[in-house]
Amino acid sequence: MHLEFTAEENAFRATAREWLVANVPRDKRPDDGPGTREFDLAWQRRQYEAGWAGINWPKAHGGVGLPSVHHMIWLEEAGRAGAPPMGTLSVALSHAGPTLMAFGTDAQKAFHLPRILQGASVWCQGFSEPGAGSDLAGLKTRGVVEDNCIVVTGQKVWTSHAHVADYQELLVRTDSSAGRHAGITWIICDMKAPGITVRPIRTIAGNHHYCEVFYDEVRIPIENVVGAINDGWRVAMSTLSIERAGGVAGHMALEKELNRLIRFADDNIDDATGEPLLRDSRIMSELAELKAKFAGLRALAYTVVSREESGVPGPESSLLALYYAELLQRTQRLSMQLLSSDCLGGGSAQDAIDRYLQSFSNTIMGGTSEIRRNIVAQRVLGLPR
Amino acid sequence: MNLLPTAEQLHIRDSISNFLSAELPATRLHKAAFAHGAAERRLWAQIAELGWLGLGIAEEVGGVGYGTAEDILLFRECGRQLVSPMVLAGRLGAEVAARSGNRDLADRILTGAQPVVLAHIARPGAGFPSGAASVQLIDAAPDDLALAWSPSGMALCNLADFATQAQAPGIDPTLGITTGRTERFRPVAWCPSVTAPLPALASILLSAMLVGIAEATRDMAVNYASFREQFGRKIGSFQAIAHYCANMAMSAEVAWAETAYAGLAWQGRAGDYASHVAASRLLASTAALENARLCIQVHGGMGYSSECDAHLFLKRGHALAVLFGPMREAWSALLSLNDNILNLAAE
Ligand SMILES: Cc1cc2nc3c(=O)[nH]c(=O)nc-3n(C[C@H](O)[C@H](O)[C@H](O)COP(=O)(O)OP(=O)(O)OC[C@H]3O[C@@H](n4cnc5c(N)ncnc54)[C@H](O)[C@@H]3O)c2cc1C
Repeated sequence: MHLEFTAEENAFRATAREWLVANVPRDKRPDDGPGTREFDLAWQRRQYEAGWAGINWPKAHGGVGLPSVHHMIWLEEAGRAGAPPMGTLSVALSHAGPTLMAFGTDAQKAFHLPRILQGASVWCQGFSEPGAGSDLAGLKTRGVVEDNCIVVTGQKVWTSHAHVADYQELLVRTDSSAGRHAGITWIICDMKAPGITVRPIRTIAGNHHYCEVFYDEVRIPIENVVGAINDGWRVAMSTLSIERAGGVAGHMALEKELNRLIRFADDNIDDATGEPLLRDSRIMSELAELKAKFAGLRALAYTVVSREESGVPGPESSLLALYYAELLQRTQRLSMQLLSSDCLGGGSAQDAIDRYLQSFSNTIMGGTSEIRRNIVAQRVLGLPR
Repeated sequence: MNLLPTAEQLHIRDSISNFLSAELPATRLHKAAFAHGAAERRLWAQIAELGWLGLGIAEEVGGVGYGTAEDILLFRECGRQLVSPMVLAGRLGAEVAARSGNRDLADRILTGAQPVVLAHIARPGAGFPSGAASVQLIDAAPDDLALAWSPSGMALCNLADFATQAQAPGIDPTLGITTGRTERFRPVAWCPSVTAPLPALASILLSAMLVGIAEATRDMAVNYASFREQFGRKIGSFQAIAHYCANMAMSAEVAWAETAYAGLAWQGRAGDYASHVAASRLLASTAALENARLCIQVHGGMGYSSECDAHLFLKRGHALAVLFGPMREAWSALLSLNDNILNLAAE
């Protein structure tokens, strides 16, 4: 057990910090619409041109090929510098890329991986359906193998960024006679293919984060199958485990937010008592507890990274995403409490209100907190089903 | 950076845990004869012989020469088996003696010849260790030295300096509590925090013990939920119970990660170690008490029975949580607004 980074890692951090300070976009990222896509792609291109894209991707796939410690350092520094989130590129960078590396054909890899790294394509994830959310294996969107195509008919829902995406990770049922998990296929769907209709849905935070996607006999070339036909469940599960381990360095950006709240509570007066909000012992104890939990989050993230380096899986990564999501939500709840009557409007509270509303999604998307707890109970603790 | 124990550290932990589960299992505390540190005293020479009291103390001053990592692994195991805080007092007392230049005393503590117990001071005065004070001694016997704590440093005192009185048990009857009062401290050894920040180390090792409680109660609950059946099913298959267990796993894991972080930050005297010490205390106390509570709940009627181990952990958790400074101090350390935790090791 040791805390020190190597001289090489510290040098990497210093270089990353310097580059980020000089290059992080100064304009605010748009909240909605096609502008989000252009903004995210431009930021990705900038990172790519300077050699920072795909830090933990293997060199063979166009990445920088550094260990996960470096990737975490990079994410920490990006958070510290206030770099934009991956936004519309998160599916491409965190799921589609790694899934193609593991299961894709040479042609798929050669075509898609460079585009993802260079900031030339946006991906979305077509897994959830109206009848299949937590119970993903209940999906019904049909894929019929015909000549050299899979012909897809059905519907997906809650597909983030589908309205601005170029490609989709699409799960379809190619064999309905097989077991629930057996007849599923994972295919790359071109979002411009005829027969696709995308309807953006407004979220509680007011933006159009996700969409309904309808497929009417969409013909997808068979060479777009990733893994084998009817072997999509295995491919999808590997994608989901990548997603669940993600967010390793979200701690940095979040902690900045918490420190902002602490400063706010110190600078602002409680209407009722005329004292700084921080003097209220309930606010003080909540802030202190959150601060302690952030320290814990970071220590847990470091443990996850240590574990990845050692190659021996442990319980921490299943816990990390759950802990992060709930901590983020609790921080935003406190932020609303501190805003007090400013939340009615007229002040400069809109950003805080948006972040608060957006935080409701953190315990739902990518597996609800209840499902994550089931996973911890069954797979980490080995409790009976 | 690597927060996982090395193979050697795992080996040390296993040998500690094997010794404790054979010689000092938590269940011993159902019998009064083993409580109040009695079982530990009987094994004291052996505990000293195993090197536990000097595990993290430098070899030059008579210690074993490992570091804080090994210390926290030891005290987590001590927490799991509800070992008397005597071991903690011995570990810290030996270092106080060594740091204050009293090698002879340090040797006597390290070899087990001189037992040390904790003297808890709820509100250490500004003049500590010279003013008057009221103490609560834990598991004390007449010839022990008492280790007294304040944020400004740690002192070893003779028990004879205190007018003592045995007390009726508080929350944890397995701890023997004696109250004492002195008008003027006359420490036999004194290590101010400026020489070595031992109060922070004390807090870290205490957190490790609290994590031990959080882990032991998690394991008890998971184990019970895996075989107890109702409605024809294992109760662990009921989601309410499964989710309690998942929460217990989460708080234990996070508290351990942060305690390890704090220990390593303290050892390297990283600029931000104080806020990590406070964070680990807060997380470990909460995890211990919350997990012990849930452990009772998961055991149903049996959990409420004094024959079940669950209450032993709950009560010890409460007792340990108040040692070495009130929670409010941890809050202030955390909210000092200097972005402590944000400062990275590279700076
Ligand atoms: C912002 C956002 C973005 C999203 N982006 C995408 C995307 O890009 N692609 C995609 O495919 N999907 C996406 N989703 C969908 C997301 O994966 C699902 O919403 C999620 O898996 C839950 O499914 P559901 O909505 O059908 O809820 P349900 O599964 O119906 O769940 C409803 C409630 O029941 C609980 N529940 C269900 N089953 C259990 C159980 N076994 N035990 C205990 N409780 C249970 C849930 O926890 C929840 O509280 C997104 C969702 C959100 C909010």
